[in-house]
Amino acid sequence: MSEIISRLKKDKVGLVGVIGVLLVLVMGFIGPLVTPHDPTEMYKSHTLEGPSATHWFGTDDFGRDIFSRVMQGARVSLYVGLISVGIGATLGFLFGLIAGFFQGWVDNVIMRIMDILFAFPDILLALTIVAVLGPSLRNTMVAIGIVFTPVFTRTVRAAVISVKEMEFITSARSIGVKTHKVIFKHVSPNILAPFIVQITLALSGAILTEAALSFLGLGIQPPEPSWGSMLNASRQYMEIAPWIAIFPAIFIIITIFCFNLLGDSLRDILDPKLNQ
Amino acid sequence: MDNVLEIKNLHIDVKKDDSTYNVVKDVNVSIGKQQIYGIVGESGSGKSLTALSIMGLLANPPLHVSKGSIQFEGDRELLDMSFKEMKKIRGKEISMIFQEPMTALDPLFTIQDQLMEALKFHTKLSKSEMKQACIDIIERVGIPRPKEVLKDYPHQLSGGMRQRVMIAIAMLCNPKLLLADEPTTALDVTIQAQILDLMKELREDFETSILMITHDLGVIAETCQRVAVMYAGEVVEESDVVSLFHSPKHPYTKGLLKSMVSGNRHDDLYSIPGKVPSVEQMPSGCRFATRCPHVMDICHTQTPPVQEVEADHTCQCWLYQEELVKNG
Amino acid sequence: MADPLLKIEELETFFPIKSGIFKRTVAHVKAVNNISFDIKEKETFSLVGESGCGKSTLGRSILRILEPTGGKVLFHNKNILNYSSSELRKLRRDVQLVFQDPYSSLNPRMSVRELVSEPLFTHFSISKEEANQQVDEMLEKVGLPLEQAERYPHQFSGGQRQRISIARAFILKPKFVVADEPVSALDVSIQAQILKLLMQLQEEFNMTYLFISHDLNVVKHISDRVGVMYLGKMMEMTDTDSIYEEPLHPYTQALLSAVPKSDPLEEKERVILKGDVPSPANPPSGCPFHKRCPKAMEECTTIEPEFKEVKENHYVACHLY
Repeated sequence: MSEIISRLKKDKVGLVGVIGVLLVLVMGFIGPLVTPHDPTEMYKSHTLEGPSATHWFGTDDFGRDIFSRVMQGARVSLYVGLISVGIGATLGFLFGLIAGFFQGWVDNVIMRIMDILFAFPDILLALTIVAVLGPSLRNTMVAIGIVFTPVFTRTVRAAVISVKEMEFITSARSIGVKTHKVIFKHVSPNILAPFIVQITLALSGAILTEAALSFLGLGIQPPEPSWGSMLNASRQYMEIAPWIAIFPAIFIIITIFCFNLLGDSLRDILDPKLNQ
Repeated sequence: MDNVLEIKNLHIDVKKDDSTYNVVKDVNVSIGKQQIYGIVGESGSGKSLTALSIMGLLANPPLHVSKGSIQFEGDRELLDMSFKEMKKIRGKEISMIFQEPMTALDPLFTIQDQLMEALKFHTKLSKSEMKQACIDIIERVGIPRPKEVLKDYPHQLSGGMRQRVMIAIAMLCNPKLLLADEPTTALDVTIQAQILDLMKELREDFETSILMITHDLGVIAETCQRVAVMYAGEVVEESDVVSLFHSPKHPYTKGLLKSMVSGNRHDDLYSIPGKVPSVEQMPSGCRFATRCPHVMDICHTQTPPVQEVEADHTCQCWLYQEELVKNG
Repeated sequence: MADPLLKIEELETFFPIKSGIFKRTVAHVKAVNNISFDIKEKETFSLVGESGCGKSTLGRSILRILEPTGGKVLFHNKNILNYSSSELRKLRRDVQLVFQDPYSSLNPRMSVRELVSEPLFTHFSISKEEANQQVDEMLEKVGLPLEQAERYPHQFSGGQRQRISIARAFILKPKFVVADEPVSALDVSIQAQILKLLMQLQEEFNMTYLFISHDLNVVKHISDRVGVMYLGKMMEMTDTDSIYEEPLHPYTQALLSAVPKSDPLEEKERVILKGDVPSPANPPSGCPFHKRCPKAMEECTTIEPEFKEVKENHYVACHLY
């Protein structure tokens, strides 16, 4: 761990990513506590106002303070993004590992199920799951997690199959290493690169999927804000009040960008070949 | 001069992390008409880079020729040629075959397509003439059932057959020089014997010169007339093949010959201690100094000059320099 | 002489060729086809042959890294093909494999120390200190500097990586080692270093080797006995001197004559074989070698020759004898 940190210090781009991600996380935790206004309070006489000294990011169509809502929304968006990707990545990792390593009928069963999940458009699938489970924050996360499982399964499975053919796996088996150790010590560490990249990609997707679900009334329930739902709500006022869209969008972009930077540098750091 | 190719003073550098390192240093090679000239060396000796620079195919960047000249047929300077001019020479007057023919053949095209492409680029034959030329050359390189094989894709052929196809493509325009980079390394011994035999035959029939690049002294003994031994980017010894095998001069050549695991089975195995220095840590004097059994003080600091130790037999080593000094 | 350490009886490893939507088995590749031989204690038995002859498959079948489809492998007179998976795991202490490719056979994410100590932790519950001490000893034996033990495989050259592989395979002091082309991927000057190391370790640990190689020069130096394989079959088997001085099978003769000469002045009689090795999925009838054999006779095309002892300890499968 200390080695990872010392390596990270040398990697300027990665450091930017780490600091960015930390700032975003801090914002998610502390932001809602220090908002200048109540994020749900409507200032009826101040609807659709541009940025000003009182309302730094302006107000929305209900006269709510956008800065406060962005701060509040950070928590929800990050929470949903991280947890749902966590669910999808964990499930995908396990399924992919099992399918790729054992192949045969297990592989067939897992992959056909993934194909079926894959065949549905993301939103439709998430919508169906939320509709079945009932709309709530927890169910939204579960739904998005399931939506992302097939991508992770496929990525992991493909990587496992190529790693499995390497001689060092045969070597481990010929030494008598037990199967579960072969999987976790020899196969898993060597598929991290594509897996981590997939995680950073999925994070942005998860934040946006959450936005779409919220927009359809199945995610976060109004007036509680999330970046995605704010972005969606801004569509009608894009021309007369672009700030409603711009600020949550900027935060989504910065967050995703920082996670991508972190992902890239993590992938390099975890690869001993790139470290002398 | 009736030399087909003359490499003089060739230097190749590589750029790595903002620094420049030398990987091929002062190589001089002259290949006569119809000669099979061998360059032997281990991985990292610069033998393949030398061949690629003749073809103008060095991966630039990071590699580039920093000094020297490569003259083809006496008056044509290959290093001064434009990319377009080189393209006309490549495949027509100088061709090259590689260690792994599968990577050099396009998997999506039939053997005939690949032969025709070369013909279309370099000749003005009619379609039926081209077809006949394909059949002729495929037959010439000893492939049975030429008409059927022409319709095959590379993956349908065995390694030996693929190498024959590569040779067919290379010989198609009757080149004056054939560069063969480890042509038999990936093949089994019985197939290697077939391919080496074929190359010797073709040299006579097509009056082609061959530059044979290999790590295997056996291949050199089998095919070559002259040979250069390369170590860490330098030619350490150059002579005719018999003289090299029977009176090797450079300690590296001696070590290489001794470590050919071929002698009597009860003889002790000989190996050169240590390993080839990396490009970043090249010794400043003689590059073999770190592994040499006869190393002297001067070897660590100064590069030995190239010395003609016997008629037509040069060696780059301080040992022979010392002798000359002693003898007056 | 003592009982053989290893007795291989009528060993067969067939791979199914599947075809069609239902993946039905339409034929078999007979990669190892009815092979029997013994390996005596402390002996080096070499298998030679061209690519696709089944020598690597045979080596791996003997260790049950590939599952044989028939026959017996008796190690200390016990048939290991009947072993349960836990018995098999215990057997792994005594039998080891050294690989050809020093690049892909080492996990790139494990340091040298982790790689070499893994077999110890797999088979024994020992402390880190004990393991480290054994690793240090082993690294010294194979000639790797101890200060490089924390490095990763990619920081080493091919020859050094092969030393790591050897340390990893030998740290359990196995009785029997299959070395599958251990020097083929290395430079000439390095080959001899690794061969010497293997011979030294054999002496020190009283080990038995099955040495697999396509290079007859390498085999000559290291083996006591040699078996020549072609298309999944053993063609000839005898002690090393006889195979080089008095090869009986036309295939062995051709193989030997194809080795490049080591002196340009040497006059060598060449038997250049016609054609390629046939596909093992579709071997010729009769003697598998008859299509390329310069001495093929009528009966070779139909009747498969028996593998029999024609001289003392000299076995050949050929109708000429």
